[in-house]
Amino acid sequence: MKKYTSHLYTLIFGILVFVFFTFFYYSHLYYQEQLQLFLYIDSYFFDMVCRPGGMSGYIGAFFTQFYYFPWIGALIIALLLMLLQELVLFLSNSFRRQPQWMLLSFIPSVMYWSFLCDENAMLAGLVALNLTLIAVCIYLIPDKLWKRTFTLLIGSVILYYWVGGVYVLFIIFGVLFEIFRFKDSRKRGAIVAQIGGLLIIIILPLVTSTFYQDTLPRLYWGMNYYRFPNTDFYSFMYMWVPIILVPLVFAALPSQKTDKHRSVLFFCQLFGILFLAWFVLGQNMNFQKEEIMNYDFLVRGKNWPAIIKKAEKKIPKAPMSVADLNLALCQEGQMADRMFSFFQNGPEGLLPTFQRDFTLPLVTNEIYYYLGFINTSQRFAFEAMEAIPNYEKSGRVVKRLAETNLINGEYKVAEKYLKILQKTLFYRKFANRTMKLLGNEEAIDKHPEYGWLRKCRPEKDFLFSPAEKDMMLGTLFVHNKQNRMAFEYLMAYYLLTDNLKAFSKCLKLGESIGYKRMPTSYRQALMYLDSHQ
Amino acid sequence: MKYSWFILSMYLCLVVSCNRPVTNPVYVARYPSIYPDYVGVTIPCRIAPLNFISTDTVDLIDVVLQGKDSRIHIQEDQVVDIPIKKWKKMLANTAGDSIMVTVCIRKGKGWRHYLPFPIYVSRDTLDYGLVYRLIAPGYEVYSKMGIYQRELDNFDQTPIMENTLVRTSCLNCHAFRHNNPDCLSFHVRGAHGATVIQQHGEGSERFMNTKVDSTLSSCVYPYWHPGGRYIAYSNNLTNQAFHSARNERIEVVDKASDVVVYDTKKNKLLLCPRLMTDAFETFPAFSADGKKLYFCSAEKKDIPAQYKEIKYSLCSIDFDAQNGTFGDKVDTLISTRDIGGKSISFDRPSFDGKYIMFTLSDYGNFSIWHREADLYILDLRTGKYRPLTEVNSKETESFHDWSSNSHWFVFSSRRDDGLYTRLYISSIDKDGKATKPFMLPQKDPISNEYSFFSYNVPEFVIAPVHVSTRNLNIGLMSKEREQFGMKKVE
Repeated sequence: MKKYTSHLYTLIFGILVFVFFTFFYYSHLYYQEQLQLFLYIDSYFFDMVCRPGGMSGYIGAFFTQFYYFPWIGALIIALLLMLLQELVLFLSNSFRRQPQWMLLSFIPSVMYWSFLCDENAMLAGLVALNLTLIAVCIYLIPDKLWKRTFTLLIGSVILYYWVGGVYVLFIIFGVLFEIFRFKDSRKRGAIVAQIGGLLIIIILPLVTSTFYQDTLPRLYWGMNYYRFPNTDFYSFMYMWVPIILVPLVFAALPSQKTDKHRSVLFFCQLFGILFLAWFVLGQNMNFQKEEIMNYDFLVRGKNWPAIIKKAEKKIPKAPMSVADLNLALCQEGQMADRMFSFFQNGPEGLLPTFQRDFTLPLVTNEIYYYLGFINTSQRFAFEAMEAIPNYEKSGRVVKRLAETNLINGEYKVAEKYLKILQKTLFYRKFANRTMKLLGNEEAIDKHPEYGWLRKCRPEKDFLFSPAEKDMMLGTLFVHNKQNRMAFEYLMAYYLLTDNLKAFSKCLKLGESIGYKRMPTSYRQALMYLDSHQ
Repeated sequence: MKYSWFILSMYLCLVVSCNRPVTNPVYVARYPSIYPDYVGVTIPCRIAPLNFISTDTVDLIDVVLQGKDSRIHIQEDQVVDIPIKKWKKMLANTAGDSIMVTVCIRKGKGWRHYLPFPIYVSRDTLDYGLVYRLIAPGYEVYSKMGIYQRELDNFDQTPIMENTLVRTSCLNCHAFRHNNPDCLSFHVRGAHGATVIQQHGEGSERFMNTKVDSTLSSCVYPYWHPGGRYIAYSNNLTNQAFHSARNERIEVVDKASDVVVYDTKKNKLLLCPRLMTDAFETFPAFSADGKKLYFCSAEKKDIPAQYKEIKYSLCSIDFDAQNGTFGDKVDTLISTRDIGGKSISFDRPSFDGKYIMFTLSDYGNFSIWHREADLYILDLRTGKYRPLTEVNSKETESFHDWSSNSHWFVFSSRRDDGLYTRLYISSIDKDGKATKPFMLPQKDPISNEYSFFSYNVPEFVIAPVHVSTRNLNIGLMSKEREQFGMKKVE
């Protein structure tokens, strides 16, 4: 039984990670999935693996696509963190077998768990670490020094192109094992390996820069570990240093021989790890972001009642969440009655202004889409995709682009996007289904969503003007007087900008909507107007 | 047992190499439907294999290419991938003649045999390669992009500069002196922005700040003087707007624009009042002999209210390269009134001095976003112009460039899907008639379908472009910029 005790701890740790990401942090995973587009085509594979560290990037992206179902994503993360811990334990024991210190091997995994709480931390970094440590395990197999030297020199070059900057750990471990385990560090072969390894660390990224265009810091540190390219690379040290330190601690610390000492040691380690987990997770977990992402997650799934229910429990205040809530209220026909039951942050909570980033335009595109501003929705979605800092594409956006082009009758472009989606795992079904609509005017017109939006989109062209949203909403509504959402957004816009004169003037336009009674917020606004006239 | 490996390998060789014979085909009296459409195109005797696919669903496609004294037989299940060595040999031997392509398609149990189609092989050579930008056809934000060179007799594409080197930068407006890669100018926009000018090949990069007090903006559209001393640029105050109605996307309009000429020898912008009027002057291009400067000019209008009223005419002014001076008057070669109230952009003179090719659209100058945009050609000997109907399509035709012998031209077109720009190459015969254009060959023609990039600003080059990536990185990341001087000339 003792033999399996350490694996049992690993399993418990894995379950904790799985539960955390499945039940408390799943929107982060869903958010990450939409910021990449994993394609099952040769060109995508070769484009990825031709970059330094590309193989880990490719494997990371492969796993990340499963975040589409957050529980699978949580399972993958749990398994990778468990693997990391097992590898660290194996390497530590390879220095010196010290079962009583085994809980220390959880430190790197706990650190990486906390790192993954950052929505921009990429899974490729974890894959790269695991691949590197597996490579170290392979390094330990040969018994002859020259074989290990050969493995180190060739392996580090291969590993650099597979995993990126983290390959340095492979060389460091190679040197450390020669010193602590094989005691061969002063032999000629080991010195060759050490000098060769050092030269590789210095020269390889420089050589790569002659044929691969990227910045030198990224070529040295790795380019797939974090979404933002100009990140503070030293933050990776927090993950990498414990991986080296833990085995060294195994080598340096004395063995505890009595059971009493072992028990004390065990509980000290356990509390230490728990404290570390509490501290680092506390630093990196962001439940405010989780809430914002959760609203977006529900919008993406068109789960309008759930959004309202969520807001009823805790009123959202973040601008993006307010915009999502207003959209949900409108979709459920409750906006005119209930929007002021919730916090409002002015017109930005209706139609947020465009920003050059990859999150806000993604949310705003949804609002313009359901309003019938198909071109604007398309633009916001496209811009969000182009703004993804690591130059990835987005499955969610390509799906939206296929839809907007379909609605606009741009069948060739829609077909292009659908063909791309056919090369994915989770958007394929949508692509196959939608492909049948291409060129089929009758089927599109009958489609509950696309057919309706076709009727809503403006026929007469005008240039988008962010300063005149009310004018645009008015034009949209005049084009189709059944477009209740356009009308309610126009009225809400006037109410939120305190333009009660325009509100009362345009109120009559709403007759075509067929309200059975005057909606609450409109009635209150009229009463206010009456009392102030 | 000892022969088993040999037998197995022989069996595998046979299985792999054996084609299924085309037996009892049904003859179809039309050309096969293939992508890209290479039926009846004219190609130079030095070009990459014209790989293609059938647009119909097929189980097998059997293709025979019959040249003057050689034959290539290919059988594939999807992409007709022509062996490059055999293709090159066939082209060399068939120059001035044609290759007959016979396509048979197997679907289900039977074969269909289509009418053989010709590919005409011209004796006129084409330049070494093409330089173009790859960029997603987006709006204001840009993701990965780069300027790439592509060797034309194979499929090799290499980056000249990508915006991974200097993150979040935008690269644009690359231009060469008469297709000579040693003289290069391109802009890098963003926090590390500069205009990079390279006059004497690799290692001669200069990183310039092109904005001077008297100009509207940094320099934009470049065009080299044939002598190599001057570069004409435009200065544009540009705005973008976005359409709401379907089938239209972006409107790029100038609120003001001028034309200036940069004297590389004296490091001075030559500012001529006749090129810096209230009217909108843009798209400068020197004539083949360097004695004229062509440009487009439009009457000033209220922007954005009257953006559809902006119509550019084609104008010219004399230029004295010896003294860096301009003529006294501006001539209008084609007035917008003469051309049905339409608008001219991308005036590009041929290097033999015979023609100017330009793009004509309903209004404005950013023709890539105008579906009606077509290519036109002006014969400078007769002064007559006409639409290049031989190459135009229902979708956008926009930027174009001449080969160094002025026999071939490349142009960007959105004919495939209405959005993603692809490159097409055509030739002009001695009567000024263009041949059916062919798409820039791709190793795998399907790859276009999965690409998020548009081809942009294609320019021929007569030899490989050599740029030091390291110098670019260091030069752009440093804040040091050479400042353009200026000189007002009458």
